[in-house]
Amino acid sequence: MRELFLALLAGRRNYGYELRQALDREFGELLPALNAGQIYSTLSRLERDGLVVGESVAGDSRRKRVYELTEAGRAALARWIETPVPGTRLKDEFFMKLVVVASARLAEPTTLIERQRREYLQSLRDLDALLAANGKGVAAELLVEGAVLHTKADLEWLDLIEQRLQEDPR
Amino acid sequence: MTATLVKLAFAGIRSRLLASALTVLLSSAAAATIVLALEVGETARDPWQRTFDAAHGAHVLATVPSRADARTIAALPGVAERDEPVPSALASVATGGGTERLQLAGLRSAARVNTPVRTDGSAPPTDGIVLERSFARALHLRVGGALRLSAAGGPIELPIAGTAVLPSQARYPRSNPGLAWVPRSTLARIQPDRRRWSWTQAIRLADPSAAPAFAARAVAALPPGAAYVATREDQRAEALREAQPLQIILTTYTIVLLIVVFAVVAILVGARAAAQHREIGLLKAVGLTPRQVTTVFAIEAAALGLVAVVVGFGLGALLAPRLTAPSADTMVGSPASAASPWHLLAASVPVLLVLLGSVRSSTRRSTRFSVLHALQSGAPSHARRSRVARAVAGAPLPLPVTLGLKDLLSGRRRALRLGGAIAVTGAAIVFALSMKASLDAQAAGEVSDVTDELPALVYTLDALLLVITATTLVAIALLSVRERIRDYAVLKTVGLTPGQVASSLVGAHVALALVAALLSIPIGIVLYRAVYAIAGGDAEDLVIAPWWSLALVPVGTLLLVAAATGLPARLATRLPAAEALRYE
Amino acid sequence: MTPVLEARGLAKTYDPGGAQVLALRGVDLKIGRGEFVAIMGPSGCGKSTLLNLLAGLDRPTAGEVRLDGERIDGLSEADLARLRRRRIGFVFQFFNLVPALSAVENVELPLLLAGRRRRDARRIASELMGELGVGGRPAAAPAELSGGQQQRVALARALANTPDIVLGDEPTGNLDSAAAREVLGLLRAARDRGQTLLIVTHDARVAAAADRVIALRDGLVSDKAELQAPRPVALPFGSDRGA
Repeated sequence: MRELFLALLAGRRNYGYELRQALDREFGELLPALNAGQIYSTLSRLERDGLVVGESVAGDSRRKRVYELTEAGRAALARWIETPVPGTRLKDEFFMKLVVVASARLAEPTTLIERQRREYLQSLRDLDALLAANGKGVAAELLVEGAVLHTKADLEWLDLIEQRLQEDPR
Repeated sequence: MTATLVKLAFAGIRSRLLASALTVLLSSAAAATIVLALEVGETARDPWQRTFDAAHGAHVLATVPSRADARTIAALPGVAERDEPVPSALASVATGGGTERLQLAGLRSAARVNTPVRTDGSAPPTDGIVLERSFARALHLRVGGALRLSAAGGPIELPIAGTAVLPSQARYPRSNPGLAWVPRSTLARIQPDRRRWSWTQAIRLADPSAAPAFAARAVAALPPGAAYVATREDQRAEALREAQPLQIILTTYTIVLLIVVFAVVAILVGARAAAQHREIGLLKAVGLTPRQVTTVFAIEAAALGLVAVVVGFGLGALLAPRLTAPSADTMVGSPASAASPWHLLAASVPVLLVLLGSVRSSTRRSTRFSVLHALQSGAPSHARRSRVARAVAGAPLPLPVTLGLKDLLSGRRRALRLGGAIAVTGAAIVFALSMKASLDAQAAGEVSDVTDELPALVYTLDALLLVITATTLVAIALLSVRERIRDYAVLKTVGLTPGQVASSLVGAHVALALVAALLSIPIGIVLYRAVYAIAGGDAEDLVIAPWWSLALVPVGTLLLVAAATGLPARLATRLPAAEALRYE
Repeated sequence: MTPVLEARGLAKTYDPGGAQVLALRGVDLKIGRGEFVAIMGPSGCGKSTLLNLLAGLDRPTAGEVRLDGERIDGLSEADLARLRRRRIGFVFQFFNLVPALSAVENVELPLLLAGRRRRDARRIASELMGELGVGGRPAAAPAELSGGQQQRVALARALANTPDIVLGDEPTGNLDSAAAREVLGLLRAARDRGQTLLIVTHDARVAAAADRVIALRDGLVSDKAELQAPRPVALPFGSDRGA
């Protein structure tokens, strides 16, 4: 989120609400209602870290501020651009839940898996319904397609886990 | 590389035993007819020479109107040995059905040159009558029986004292009148008018190779048209001409068989290429050129062809003496296999050429597809649909038959070749039917100049063709079933009943065969007319099979094709649809 | 209400070369009229076997198949064929169009089999192909069409007699994602018209379009999932977790 704001500020000075509009343009309805507080807290943290500098505009009763990148901000942005997003994802909420719940014998692992599979299938259905609805930008569509592929991978992973459990029920 | 190609070729032979066996069967039949055609002319050569030696045969034999003319010829230079001229006259023999003409030679003493060679009873001259053997056999006359001759002074009955053969006398009734020997006195009784006698002067020359020149001088020495002179070569040619009708028929059937071989082998190779589409694609991906792929098929065909030629040669050489057995009626000893290596070569060249040609014609298309396409699809793309197929779509046929026909015609070349093979086989049958009709048309008891072996040969070859065509039909139907396992399964899912699936296969083949069979009738008639004309038959005596027997051809084809495709059709309905659907 | 299609204790054993293979081990299944059911499972789980048994393309070793409450597993091959003609449409992974027939001839085949006159059959087939977006090249041979086009022709053929049951065996298995999505949309449209859909797939996305997903494992139903109407989806921008 921080870097997104830096990138949005790279071209020109912006008001906080302008950043919000830019995000809206790209991601459309996929973007949940961001409240003003979240935007301004992010911006003030960036300002605190010296990456942006805010300036109050005189004559505005609602004490709006215009934000601009600092040198440090530009450097941070450049670093972010150069560095690929980390590829390895060794973090999965469901898997951790499965391991912990199963070892504590709080529930049957297969039940958990089945429940999760339904959730993933339902997610796919949700995502497909989203795609079927018109009026999205290309970015949003690709984002959903990506989510579909990840969900399909998650389903395959469930199959794998289930298969291993069958072969070797701990 | 070559070793690999050969290995691939032999793997192909092994993997398709039925098709390979069919190819060998067909090609050996073709090779056998070629060898037969060449050998039948040769088998009687040795026996004739033996007869000539035994008879102390004449290098030149002159038939002249008077004893004086005979003397004139005998006095020409170059004569090494001469016999007394022998007088002869025509007589009529009463047979069961009518009368036959017979040339009676009146011997005063045993002939020294061109001596009749005794085969049974007494040798001429002797009391009674000695018959030339083929005449005796044709009229079923036996030594010890009697022969009634009509003479000027009324019928004369003579006891049959013996039979003999003569190198200058070809087989009765092709050489008509027949020949018999009587004492001179008997001749005088039967034909007292000596002006109606002709005289035969047998001469042996110091230089046998000068016979043609001597013959020319002999003809020149007498008034034009007075003398008929036959050299040793003429006599032999006449004796061996017995095989001529056989040779014409064998040549005809050779051509017929080669056409069928071409069609069938092209179908089989094409089917194999189609079935191995993916494999061929792989080979090409590995780096084989289309030419090398064709080479694999060519090696395969050539290997089968060589086996077939050797088998065919053996068959031909073995059968030839049996076919020419009748010509031995006029000779000492029996015909023997010539088994000339030249004949082996002569048989292998056309057979191998046809085999390789059919391989080339059927692989040319199937090896040119793109590698990628072959690897991706695994099956050859169907050729664009022909006009015929579109016409079929509009024809008011039952749906399964329309379906089957569209399918059959989508492989246009294969359908054409199959139709061709059926048409040619049908034509051969029409040929045989016409020949049988003309034999039947002859008056009962009339002696035919067609040897019994000729119709037997034609029937055998027809049976062979029928077996081959029927086997090909079964093989092709099986192949198309194998190629269409998935299509049949799809049709079942769409709602075709097993009966409809079966009738689409049978109906389509029957419809194609029916068209081919109808075409085969005019083709067969033209073929018969041509062979009849070449064989020197009298146009007025030409008999074509009656319509009802010709109608047997399409009816028989219908039944045969239905029977031949019935089994593969049952197979098609039994295939488990579920498995087939998952193939790609 | 009687299910349109029902399996009771359905079992199938294959016997290739002596070794018995249990493809299905007692499957119970009820499919209601107008339902869209997907069958999922790893390859070799018996899902295609189940589909073929339900369509009468294969005979069960044990158990029953019922269509509208009446057993069909004992019917003759010919009766089954006549039944499929009217009531069951089939779509396959490899399209399985008859290669000797043109696109439109493939589509009109079931119509002709059902006794339609040629002219009517051609008209209905052309209209249907137009609706499915492949009306442009009716005379093309199947091999001349792209995979997506072939599958749409196959779908037109399956829908030609407006069968009340449409069975699909990996109908999108051989298509790229765009073509797959189009075919899926057409299947959904068929369901919306009231046709019953039973699709075997290992594509979770296809399965997710169904009302009910049945998971098959080792010849047994291992799970049944009823899917709900789509829920709203949002991007995770609510909190700044990345910071």
